[in-house]
Amino acid sequence: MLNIHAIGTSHKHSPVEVRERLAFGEEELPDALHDLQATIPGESAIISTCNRTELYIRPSAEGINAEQLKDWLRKRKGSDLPDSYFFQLHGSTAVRHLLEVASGVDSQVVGDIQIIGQVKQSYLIAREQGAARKVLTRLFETALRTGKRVKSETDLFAGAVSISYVAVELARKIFYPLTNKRTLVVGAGETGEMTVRNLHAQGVRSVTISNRTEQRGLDLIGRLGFGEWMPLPTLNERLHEFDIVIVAAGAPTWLVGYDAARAASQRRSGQTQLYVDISVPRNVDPRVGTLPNVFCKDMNDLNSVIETNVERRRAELPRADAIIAEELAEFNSWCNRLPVTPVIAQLQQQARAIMQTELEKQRGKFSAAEFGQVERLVESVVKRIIGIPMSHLLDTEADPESVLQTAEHLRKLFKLDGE
Amino acid sequence: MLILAKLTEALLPLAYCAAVAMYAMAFLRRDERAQRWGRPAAMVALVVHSLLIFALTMHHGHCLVYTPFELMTMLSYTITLTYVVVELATGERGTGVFFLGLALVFQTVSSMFGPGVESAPPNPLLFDNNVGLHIAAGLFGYTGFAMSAVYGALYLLLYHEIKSNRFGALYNRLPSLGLLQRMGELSALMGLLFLSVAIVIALVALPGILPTFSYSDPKLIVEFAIWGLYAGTLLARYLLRLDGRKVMILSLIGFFGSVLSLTVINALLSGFHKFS
Repeated sequence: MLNIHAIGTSHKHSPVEVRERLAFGEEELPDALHDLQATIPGESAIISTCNRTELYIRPSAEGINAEQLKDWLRKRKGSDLPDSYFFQLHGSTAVRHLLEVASGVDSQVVGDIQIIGQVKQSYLIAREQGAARKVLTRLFETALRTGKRVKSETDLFAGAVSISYVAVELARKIFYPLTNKRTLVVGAGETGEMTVRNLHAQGVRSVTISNRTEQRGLDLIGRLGFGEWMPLPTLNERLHEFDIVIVAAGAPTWLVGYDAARAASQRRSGQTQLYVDISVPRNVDPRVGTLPNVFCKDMNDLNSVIETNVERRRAELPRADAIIAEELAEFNSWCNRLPVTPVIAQLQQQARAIMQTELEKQRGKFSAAEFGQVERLVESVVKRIIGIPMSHLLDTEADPESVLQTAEHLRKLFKLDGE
Repeated sequence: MLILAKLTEALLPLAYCAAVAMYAMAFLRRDERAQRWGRPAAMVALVVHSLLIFALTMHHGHCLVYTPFELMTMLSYTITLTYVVVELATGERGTGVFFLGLALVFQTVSSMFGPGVESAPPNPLLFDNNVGLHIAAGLFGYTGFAMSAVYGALYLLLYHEIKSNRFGALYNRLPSLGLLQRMGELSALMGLLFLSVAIVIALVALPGILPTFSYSDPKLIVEFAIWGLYAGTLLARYLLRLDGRKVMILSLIGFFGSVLSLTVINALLSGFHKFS
């Protein structure tokens, strides 16, 4: 069995307060990896996100166990957390776990798209620091490929699962193109800001901010780096100017009433308009949604989109599992062949050396053109001969035990490894 | 020409099957490879179909509207061509499975059951190029309107799904309302352009060819009315900034109105303006 350990904690094993204590910042990772290498020589990588801190280790020496890894983590983070907060996996189950993490199966919200980028970043840092070499490089590349396959071959990452993304998705489902649509955000709170940032990321350029307190609105514009200011009292008279109206104000009454919305719709000649009311209590009269070509969605509606999307993602888990199983089998097969790789390389090297020596002895007997022909002929014969045992070593269908035996026989027969 | 016709006729259902399979996999499973290969597959089908139309037209010497099976292959061709133009103009591939599926059905029936030879000599008028162009342009025109109506129906479906907070498969799979409207407008615009060509040929060339031609031909009048409805709607869309549901409802009314009026005219005045 391949000697790979995975230990750490995640949203399944510990509350956020514990995860915060064990988290590594990106700038801290290089030093942590060097420290880990010094304590436990071998290959290592650290994945640290808001939902998990996980160590992946392939020790170069035998006898390393999970306790030593947990102790390193405790010592590094200056905490004495009990074992119950940690998980520990070894061999194939550790590998499978990483594939599940990278493909969003193990995420708190199934199909969290950010995890692929986070795993990639952890891998790149480990590789830059020389901590991820042959085996962990292969392991992380397998994990990232698995994540990409799950993303492209299943719907596990499809559909938004946060209010701000759902609002943007809704706007994308209604307008085409979205980029030239005029957007008004009423309220300078966090959700409104997230929504407008997501809309901006989708190419929406015309953003107007309105808020009860002017300074907070201007602060938001400053933070965003884009947007125009509109005084809140002018809201109803300028409502017709906007295609998308996001209300996140938390005012005690309707900020957009039915009559105001109807008047705005008439002034727009009935052109499509979307109101997203993410205020609690609601600030847009729900009757606005009954106007033709006017869509009005509140928190309840957006939450029902989230529920549908989460259900849909869950239904994709068996397909994601099948991809993980395929990639795991391929990685295990590669691992099983790891011991034979040096045998193949040495066999090829030795055959080439013998061929070159014998050819050099005969060089004087041929013209340059004839020698070239003879060289090609001999090379072809040698390749064919060593190709027979090599094909068995590389046969992915063959029994791993028999492959290892063949490798051992070849080592003895051809006196490889200097024997 | 006959060999080319036979060969392409046999190949065409396979080419459409491949294209429909790609679009279906992309629609149902969001398969990236299928998304990538759908358009090339549709293009291959279109090229093979163009060759078939060319070979059959050269072989028979007239526009392919004499037998129902010739009409079916023409219909299949006009659907595919209009769809490909709309897809290229908008970049949206989410509705290909519907239209290419329809084209596949028409072409398969035509390829499987269409007799290789015409049983009786067709009306000699069909051999006139102007008549052929008039009919083909008319066919393209009505196909454009039909496709616009389908986009209109999909628009209304999605509109009601969003209004009533049903965020299921249709919500996830169909293109946005704005894009459906754009695709519907493009199809209607293509239909309008082809119908304009058909009308111009009818007004300019047909009086000298058809002995019974009359400017009060009900089919011509209905064609004018339909042309006017679509031209008016498209104009209103831009001048009066008509948007969304109203445009799509008008598109549906236009299509069903034209089908209904042409059906009534054909039933009541079957002896007039007839080529087959």
